[in-house]
Amino acid sequence: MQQSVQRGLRAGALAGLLLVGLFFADYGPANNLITIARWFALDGNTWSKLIGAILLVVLGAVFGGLFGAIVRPWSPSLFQSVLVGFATGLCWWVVLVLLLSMVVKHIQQSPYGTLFWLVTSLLYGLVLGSLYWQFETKGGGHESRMV
Amino acid sequence: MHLSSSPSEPPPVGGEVPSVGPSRVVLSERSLILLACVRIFVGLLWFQQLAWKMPPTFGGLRRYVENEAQHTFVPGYSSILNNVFLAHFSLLGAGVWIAELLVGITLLFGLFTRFGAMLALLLSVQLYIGLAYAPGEWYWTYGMLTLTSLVLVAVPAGRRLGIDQLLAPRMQHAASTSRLARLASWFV
Repeated sequence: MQQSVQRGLRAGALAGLLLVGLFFADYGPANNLITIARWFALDGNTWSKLIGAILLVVLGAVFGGLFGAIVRPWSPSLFQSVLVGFATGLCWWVVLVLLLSMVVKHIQQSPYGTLFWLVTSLLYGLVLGSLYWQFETKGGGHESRMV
Repeated sequence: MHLSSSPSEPPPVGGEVPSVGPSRVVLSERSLILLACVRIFVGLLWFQQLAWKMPPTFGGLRRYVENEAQHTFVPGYSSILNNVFLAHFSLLGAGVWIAELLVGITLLFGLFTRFGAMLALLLSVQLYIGLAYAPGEWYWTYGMLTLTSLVLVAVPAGRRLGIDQLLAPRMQHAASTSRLARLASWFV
């Protein structure tokens, strides 16, 4: 139990870190990180971007931990891991973007914004599932070969 | 090019490495993950460009195409842009938007990554031809875009942190019996 949750926490935090990088790369820069802070009413100060970045990593780890707890009963194949990862990404989108951002905080989304948050949420899930499987099966230590 | 994460093959009988042909290039797992991150960021680059050319009007795209028509360095391309593309702008806008969406999705999710990279290469070359020597532009912007796409065509970057990791072994297995699968396996 503990090991799978730990793997999930690690994979989720790394997937969250990737999102920090993606959200930094905008015209702001990093205006999307302020949006994350706004979800939790922590924006409006000079640290908003940093708070948004930390929140993403922490939320990533939390969702990753839940992912690890869900897949614990069986040792998932890559397909299963990615599938549950996508489902976790979809939950991320529903909970954080739809409920917290749009319903609770009344932050309006443009059509592009809706597409952007959906795609990045699913990407989080894909990276989470892929990394989790990698941590579980290989420990990230094997060499790969390109011929 | 073949990419595998399986452990090393058994050493050749007699312990001698055949000297014929190029040597194999070995990438560590970390290098492959880094390559996947590059793929994801390039995917984001293309995906973000959808924001300023959203349908149904395709926003700022017309200004860019007009700029291309004025400053292209390929003779005759200007008249193609004016008489074909700008004359049917809605069709062009829809085509460009869908193509860039496809590039963004394929690269972000590592789904038929090389197909997405080829599409990105085509779009990048078109941008280079049209905009590289326009006033205020740095010609290497589009040169780098082209080269980045070319790298992602050459290297199967979707096989880590991507759906291609799932597809590649299945495609390669099916490739032995199906010509279509053999063709499709090159795109992952």
